[in-house]
Amino acid sequence: MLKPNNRIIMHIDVNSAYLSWQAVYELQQGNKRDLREIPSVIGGSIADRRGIVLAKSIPAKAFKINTGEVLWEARQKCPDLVVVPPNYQLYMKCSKALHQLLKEFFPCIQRFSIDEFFLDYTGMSIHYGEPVETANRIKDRVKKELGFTVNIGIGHNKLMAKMAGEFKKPDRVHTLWQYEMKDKMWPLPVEELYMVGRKTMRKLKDLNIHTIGDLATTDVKLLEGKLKSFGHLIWMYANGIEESPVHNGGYIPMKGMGHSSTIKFDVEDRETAYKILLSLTESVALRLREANSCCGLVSVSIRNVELAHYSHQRKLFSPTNITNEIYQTVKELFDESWQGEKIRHLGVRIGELSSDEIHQISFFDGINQEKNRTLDGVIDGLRDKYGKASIIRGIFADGEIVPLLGGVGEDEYPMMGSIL
Amino acid sequence: MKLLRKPIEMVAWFDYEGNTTPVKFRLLNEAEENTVVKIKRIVKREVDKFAGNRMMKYTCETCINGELKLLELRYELDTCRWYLYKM
Repeated sequence: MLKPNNRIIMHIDVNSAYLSWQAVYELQQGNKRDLREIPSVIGGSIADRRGIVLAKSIPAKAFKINTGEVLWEARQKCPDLVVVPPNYQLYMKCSKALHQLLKEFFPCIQRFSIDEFFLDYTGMSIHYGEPVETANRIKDRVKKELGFTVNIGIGHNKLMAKMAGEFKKPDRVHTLWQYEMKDKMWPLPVEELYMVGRKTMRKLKDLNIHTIGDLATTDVKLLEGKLKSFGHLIWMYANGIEESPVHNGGYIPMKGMGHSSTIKFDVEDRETAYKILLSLTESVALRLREANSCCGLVSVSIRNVELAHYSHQRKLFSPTNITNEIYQTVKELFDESWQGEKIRHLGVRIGELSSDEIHQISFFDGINQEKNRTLDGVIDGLRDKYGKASIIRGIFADGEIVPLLGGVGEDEYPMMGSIL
Repeated sequence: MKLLRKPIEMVAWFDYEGNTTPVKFRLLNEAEENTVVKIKRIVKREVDKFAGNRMMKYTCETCINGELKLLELRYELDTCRWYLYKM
């Protein structure tokens, strides 16, 4: 057994992925402009009210444009901003090409998201030489062959590799070994640490923790008292302790799944909201059954036109994966939580996943459970064979609402998780 | 060579090994007339994988109006389209 500090893990991250992929594609197609060299962003369509910045170029960063910002705000900051719509098919193609290239070198690769990969370099120095040299070689080959730039971070575990990948961009290789941690990672602001977001940051600032070093040297009991087990986790991360293996093949244990969508118009009545919730439930339940799982928890989230967000959840009496049963609970939850205002965004989430191999029968089961299960099976079969739109509910026949809402429209799109 | 990226109609030769060799192509000129261009020699063939989009690149010699000219042809594998990319 190798000691944890003997592992060598690399993290490969494409620099402003969506944008540089689009830029490279345009150049290949004979366009003269390079999106990476002008202030530009990838943004959703304003007409569909999905007008936020998904990715930005480095010159756009100089105008203080942030990812996730509303497009018109970005335009105010920079009137000459070039906005390009997203093209998920292209991103899948780029991501696959990168995966293919990495597979030529390494046997153990984890696809962490569409533009991030982990690979295990442990014991491979004999064949390929020092990790930094290899990383530089890969980086240059990606640039030469695929045309976009990547950052490679190297460390003893996935967390350190990922943190190293976030240092100076673009087109760089960084290391973050255990002995470099105090100099390179600890002076960074605490929100740079993986898993520390806006909310945790605020809580930590209340405790007078401002840098990763502060967090690492804080008494772990204090953090556990405030943030429970999550406090322990981020304390471990701040100290560079993390031992998860590089999951080859892409299987990542799921804790839950959900779909949500911003709606093109404001929803004012219950009927329309139900329709959208049904559409979201259809997508979620399909994914749930694809994963051979049942869920024990259903949650509904609502964002109104004032952008206030709230959600409501309930544990189910017995786990299920039947669309109609989930939808029933979704409707109840919606009725209990909706305050009657205009809705902009709806989401359905399920959690407490368990295997669907065993069903506990109870007195309180819904009627026709077996029939519903068979029906779902048939529908899934049809959708798998003839495409998702091959069979839809009659209620969506007017075409106003997409029958299966949520997601990016690409089936194999790997979403980034919070589990390393 | 200047960048053109004009769609063209191509006669190409596909051999047993899967090599593709452009033979001759035609394109519409300014007066909407077809011009046929024969390829004399292939100087270089490469695969371009930029942005994961595979394209075969051919640098070729042709003879146009008695003058030897170098041009770049591209074949986009996903769409099966030929382009006169540079001339």
